[in-house]
Amino acid sequence: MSGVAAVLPPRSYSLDELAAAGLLDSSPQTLAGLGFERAYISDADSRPEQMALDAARAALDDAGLGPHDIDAVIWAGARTESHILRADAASPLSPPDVLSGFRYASAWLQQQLDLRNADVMAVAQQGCSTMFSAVRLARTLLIAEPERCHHVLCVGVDVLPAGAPREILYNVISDGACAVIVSRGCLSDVWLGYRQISRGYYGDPAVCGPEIIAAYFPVAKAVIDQVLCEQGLRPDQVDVVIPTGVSHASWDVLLRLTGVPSDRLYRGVASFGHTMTSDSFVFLSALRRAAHVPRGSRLLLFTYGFGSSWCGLLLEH
Amino acid sequence: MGQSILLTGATGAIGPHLLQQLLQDEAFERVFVLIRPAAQRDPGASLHDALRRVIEGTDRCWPHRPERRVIPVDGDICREGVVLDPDVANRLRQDVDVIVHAAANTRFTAPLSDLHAVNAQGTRHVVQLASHCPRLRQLLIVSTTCVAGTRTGLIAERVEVQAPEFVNAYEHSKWRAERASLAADLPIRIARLSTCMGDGRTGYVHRFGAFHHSLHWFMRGLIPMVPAADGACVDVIPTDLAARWLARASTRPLERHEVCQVAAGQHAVPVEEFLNFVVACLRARAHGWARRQIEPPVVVDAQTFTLFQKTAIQSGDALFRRVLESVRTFLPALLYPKVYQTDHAAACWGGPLPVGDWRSTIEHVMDFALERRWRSRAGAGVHRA
Repeated sequence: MSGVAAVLPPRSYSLDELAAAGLLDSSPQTLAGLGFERAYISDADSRPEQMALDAARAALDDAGLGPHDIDAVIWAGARTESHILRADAASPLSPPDVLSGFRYASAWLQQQLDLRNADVMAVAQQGCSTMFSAVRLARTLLIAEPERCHHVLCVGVDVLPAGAPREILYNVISDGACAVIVSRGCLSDVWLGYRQISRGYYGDPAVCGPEIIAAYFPVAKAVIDQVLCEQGLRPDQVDVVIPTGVSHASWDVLLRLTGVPSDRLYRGVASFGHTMTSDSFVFLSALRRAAHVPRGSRLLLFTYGFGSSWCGLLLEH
Repeated sequence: MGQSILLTGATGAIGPHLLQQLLQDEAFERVFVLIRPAAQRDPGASLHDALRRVIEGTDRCWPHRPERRVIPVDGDICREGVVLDPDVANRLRQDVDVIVHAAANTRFTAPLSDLHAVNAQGTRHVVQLASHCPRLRQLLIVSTTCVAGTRTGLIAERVEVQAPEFVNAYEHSKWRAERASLAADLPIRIARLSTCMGDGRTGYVHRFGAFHHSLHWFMRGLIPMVPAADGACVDVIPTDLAARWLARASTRPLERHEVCQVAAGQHAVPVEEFLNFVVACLRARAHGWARRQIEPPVVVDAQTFTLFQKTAIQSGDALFRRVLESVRTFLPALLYPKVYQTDHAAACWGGPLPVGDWRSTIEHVMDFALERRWRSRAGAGVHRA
């Protein structure tokens, strides 16, 4: 990964503020006990497409690349709405009919950034693990098209509608965007392995809530066991675990289950809630900036996305 | 004059199996059956219904004219004197040779006060009744191997003076019942039953208990973790073995006090082997289970299970919370590996206990439960007489 960046909205709200606005189901105390502190919520000045654009620019800077270097763009969004430009950002000439459903955010991004050499595509329907699949596809493109593809820009963004509840399955939800550039021959955060388990049985979170909670840990353990096994690694050979923004306590449980020492969990970012697609890359971007993790360290990224998919990604820093 | 036996708990989880066995064996001419009047408007009908369901469910033959041998008696072990009608109480005291006390509150999640009222105080009342029976040859008290609590290693067939730590209040109440009963100068045999899975031949379960609810939740994928120590085993027996053993023990002479553990003992199954077999059973049987690809529960240590419980219970999901609050009353018993000694039970039986093939019993129980959609007609919860 030659470039990694993430963007959160500038405005955040405490749990008490969210509760007072009626945006939480659980009490602030309960959510604080799970490790949550606040939610970052976008407003008119931090629209999703703008956050995505900012993240993409930052990733290009991080990679030292220009827009014309990008050979492909993969847009990622957990929510269907994340793929379509909101009306106020589109051309005022766009008619309010079915065609408005084709105002793709990826096209807007290509135009705004002048990614003139890029093929544009998108990944969806994987909830919070969508960005993992975007990165996976980016790597696949590099392998499949060695002559044509050298740099693939993955951009993920998710924003809840204004006034939407900010708690989903006991996680406090923030808005956020991220961008990752996957480049051929790059020596930082090199792809080592990937494992994904998808279970369609858990496809309806409104119906399968308890089953999803119950399945989360055994399947997560299976994914991590497998990705390590495929690389011939023991759990204690993972140097850093890049978490997501979900409940802190769940990470303690998962590390105990997998045998990865608990001190390997990266805690370099204050609680920002769960941003759906962007969590892991908020942490990874912070870790790269902090520059205190030695080169060659093995990073384990794990996430779960509605759908349901459990994904584990192993990188060499 | 023929022999008479008094049975409490005849409509509970084990009671109907035992009643069927007693009637089949014909060692006793009369079987007095204590029934709480409040439990049913027509106690005789409910008893007959329980007996019919067990006989049909276990594919046994009807005993000869059971209505002439079974005598329902209004009573409640939670009341001093137990038997309500003084005349009936008097007749019972004169006639009864053996008492089998099988009534209990087996709800692990019940309040401690309720459990003690039924299990400990109720047993005291039955012991008092027994002390007024001049013909009494034996008071056979049905207890549970769970009274070992958090003890580990070889569990002897004796009542320990010091109470161990207990995993739940049910265990504590049954331990107190044992202690209280052995204070009496009576011929008392305590039968500690292991977990009864269901009928070994048909899988019939008269009343689903914690074991069956666990299998159900397991099937739904709602038990992601099982706390267990290295070397822990699942000790289970077929229900018909428990019933046959109790029926036989009720005829065996007894000097004074004896504790027998009717358990798999050395034949108990390692936890992971048990879980893997249950998974295989479900994949072969439960519609759609294989397609769902539910991961088997992960066997974890105490600290991980505690962390997980805390996280999951904080989550607030009502169903998941209910499942967790229930399983945490008994699954942590697996954190205390133990092997039950069964020498006394085997001697009373007249040879090694025929614990049978646990795999076959599990398969039958699964078939039965799936066919019944995990509902036992008798309903769940408190059962005492």
